[in-house]
Amino acid sequence: MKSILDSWRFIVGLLGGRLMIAIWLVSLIVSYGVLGWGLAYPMQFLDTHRSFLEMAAILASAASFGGVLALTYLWNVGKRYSQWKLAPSTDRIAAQVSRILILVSSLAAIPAVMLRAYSATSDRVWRLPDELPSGYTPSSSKTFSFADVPSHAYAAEALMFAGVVALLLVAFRRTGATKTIAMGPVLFWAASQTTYRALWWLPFAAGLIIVVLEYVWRHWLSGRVENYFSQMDRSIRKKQRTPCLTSWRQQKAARSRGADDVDARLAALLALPSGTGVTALSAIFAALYLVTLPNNTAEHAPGTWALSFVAWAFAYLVGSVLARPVALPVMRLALLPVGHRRTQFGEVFLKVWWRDSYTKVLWAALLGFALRAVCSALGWPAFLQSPVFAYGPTLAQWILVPLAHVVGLLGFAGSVCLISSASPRVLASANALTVLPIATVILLTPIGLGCKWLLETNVVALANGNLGFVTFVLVNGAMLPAFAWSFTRIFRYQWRTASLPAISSGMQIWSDRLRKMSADVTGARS
Amino acid sequence: MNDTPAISVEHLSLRYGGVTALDDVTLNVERGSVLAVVGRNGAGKSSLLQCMLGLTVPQSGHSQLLGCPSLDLTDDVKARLGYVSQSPELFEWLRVGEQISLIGGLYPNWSEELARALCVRFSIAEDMKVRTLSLGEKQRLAIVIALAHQPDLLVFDEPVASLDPVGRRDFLRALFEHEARDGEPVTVVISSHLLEDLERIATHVLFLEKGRVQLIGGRDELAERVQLAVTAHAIAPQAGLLKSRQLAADEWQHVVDTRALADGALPPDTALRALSLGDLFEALNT
Repeated sequence: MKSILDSWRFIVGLLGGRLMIAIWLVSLIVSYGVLGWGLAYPMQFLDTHRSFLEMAAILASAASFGGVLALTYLWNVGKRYSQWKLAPSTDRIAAQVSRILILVSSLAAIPAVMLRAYSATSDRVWRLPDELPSGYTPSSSKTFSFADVPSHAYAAEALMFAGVVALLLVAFRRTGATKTIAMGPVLFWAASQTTYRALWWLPFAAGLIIVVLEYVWRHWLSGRVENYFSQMDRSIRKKQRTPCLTSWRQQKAARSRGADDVDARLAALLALPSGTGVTALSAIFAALYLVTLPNNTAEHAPGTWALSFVAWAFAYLVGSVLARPVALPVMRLALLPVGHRRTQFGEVFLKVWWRDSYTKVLWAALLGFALRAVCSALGWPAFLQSPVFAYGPTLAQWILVPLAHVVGLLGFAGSVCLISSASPRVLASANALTVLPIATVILLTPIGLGCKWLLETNVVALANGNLGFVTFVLVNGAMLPAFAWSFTRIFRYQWRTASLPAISSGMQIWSDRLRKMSADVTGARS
Repeated sequence: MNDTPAISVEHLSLRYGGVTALDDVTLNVERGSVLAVVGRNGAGKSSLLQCMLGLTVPQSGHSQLLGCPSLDLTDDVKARLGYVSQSPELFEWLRVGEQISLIGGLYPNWSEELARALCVRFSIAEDMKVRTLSLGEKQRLAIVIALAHQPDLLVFDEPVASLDPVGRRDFLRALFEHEARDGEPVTVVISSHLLEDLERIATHVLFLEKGRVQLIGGRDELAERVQLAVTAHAIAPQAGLLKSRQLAADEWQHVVDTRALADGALPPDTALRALSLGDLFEALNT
């Protein structure tokens, strides 16, 4: 009995804990209950109760995809934990657990496919009357039942569902990241309804990106060192290898002379040790953002304030990826006789983070401009070439809009670095450091949007939205950094009494947390 | 008694991209022997142990454990095998007691009393969550799990790297006292950088260098056979000359295999000095 209990605890823990199992089972029960209810009571098109069906579709999909993820996690345990792999009978146990997981996933897939097909079809019928099932006339007073869903809609949905399952299996068969990070794509896929068949490729594209990222990470970035060598060998090899960027910065530090260069020397000595991979990924991400910018001079789809807000918020999200303060080896430097004072450290942190950020932005700009030209020439992506967005190959399309975004991103990234380096008390707390990246964005976003509103309501020329890129540059390239600089000045006095050991300790704890999270993402063992 | 070697490795080669981890390694580990695997970082120790156990698939060559192919171990062989990896691989969401009980339940020879006794010896509290244990405590727990089913083949990959001196002493004691349940002689393969510990327990020593077998043999045999010579001149490379190093303008140090070295290879009045394991390691690797 005790061993059964231990096995149960093992499996529960393996699958993400009791809460996860409870959510899983409740999702299953609720989705079947809602499916039964939907089968028994056909609903009108505008019946608000239909949203229960859509929610249940998401729950059931998440439960089914979650089961698939659990399966990949089980495989990973078999591969990664030598103790488990070398114990007798584990293959049999893993096979049994796999069968249970497949059964539960399949059970959850039934309501998921049915409910998704129902929601998608009823949505299409209502929104696209030209594609009605034969003889059906949309009317808000008419009801739509599961019997009205054509069989090919179920088949299409099942096919789509199977495709996503296959992608999950391919993408996560090796990473071991299922319990935390993989829930993101799972929820994304679970929530993506397929009302418009034109977007059928979206989940597959997302899956492809995951597979490619995983491949790039495994083979090129963390690659062989991460995967194949033991902990000690790995650390030795890492010590032997100095990234070229760091090496260049160290050489630069060695060349600097005189008291005026102290800040530069400190910053160079603190150069981020291995930013190449992260820099490359961030730059690619930001370059893709530049590629998908609308071709017109406004920052958003015509007219609506809500869309304008989304476009700016997304730009800030990209900016926050580019400007990510990281832990620095403070004490190593504080003990060096390089003529520094405590008050200089705030500036030093700012210099190091800012240099890291603008390097990423400039690489992104270089890549983004080239990709944007290629994509525009190829007419991709199609929706950006539509009449709504495309105003033809003008100076604005080719140069001004992307340039405005580069300047805006630089300004936003600089503001994040300024705010982050403001207070030594924040930098001394691992908890504060953990929330710092998101807190800076939360602080800066309403200020940026507020400045935008101020400009658009007070400067007539900027009110019509066609000069959105000018507003973007003014706000993010000038007003936001000015605010951040002023904010930094307010707290700068704190550096006179800053505790460098406390900052070092806080950063060390924070860094360990990030490393653990990174190991979880990549499936690497710590 | 079965005459097949406990471990048999033939022409094992393993490459990671452009890095050669193992290069045509062949060796047999006799039952009842304690083989110490030594070498510098990156010499291929862990890779060799992982290939031996079937945890890593080599590019060429094959290995057998207790007569069974490593890549296809049967449950019977697994039940006779104990392994501790360099970084303990434990299920962090379980408590210590649950972990022991879970893994123990898989082994037919599992001894609950021995597991508890080892927990006491290694000062591991059974009610603690594995994730809260320090690295050394996790290593000790992994050792408990590897020993408590009384296997007759033990493979340790730097088991004491994270242990304090008391932990190391306890580990060595547990190893000395370890007996297989079925009375089979216990074979141990252990890699470590703590040569003084290995000197106490090893019956055989394997030196690895850049994935190749540099030297292998019984410890007493090696002590007698492989010696240090100091000459005033260099000696031409030849069979039996394992390593030469110039210490000063007229002083050369050679590690020689006295049995393989041709007569007259060394000047007549050359004094030979026996080496401890640590000295031999240093002489071979500097």
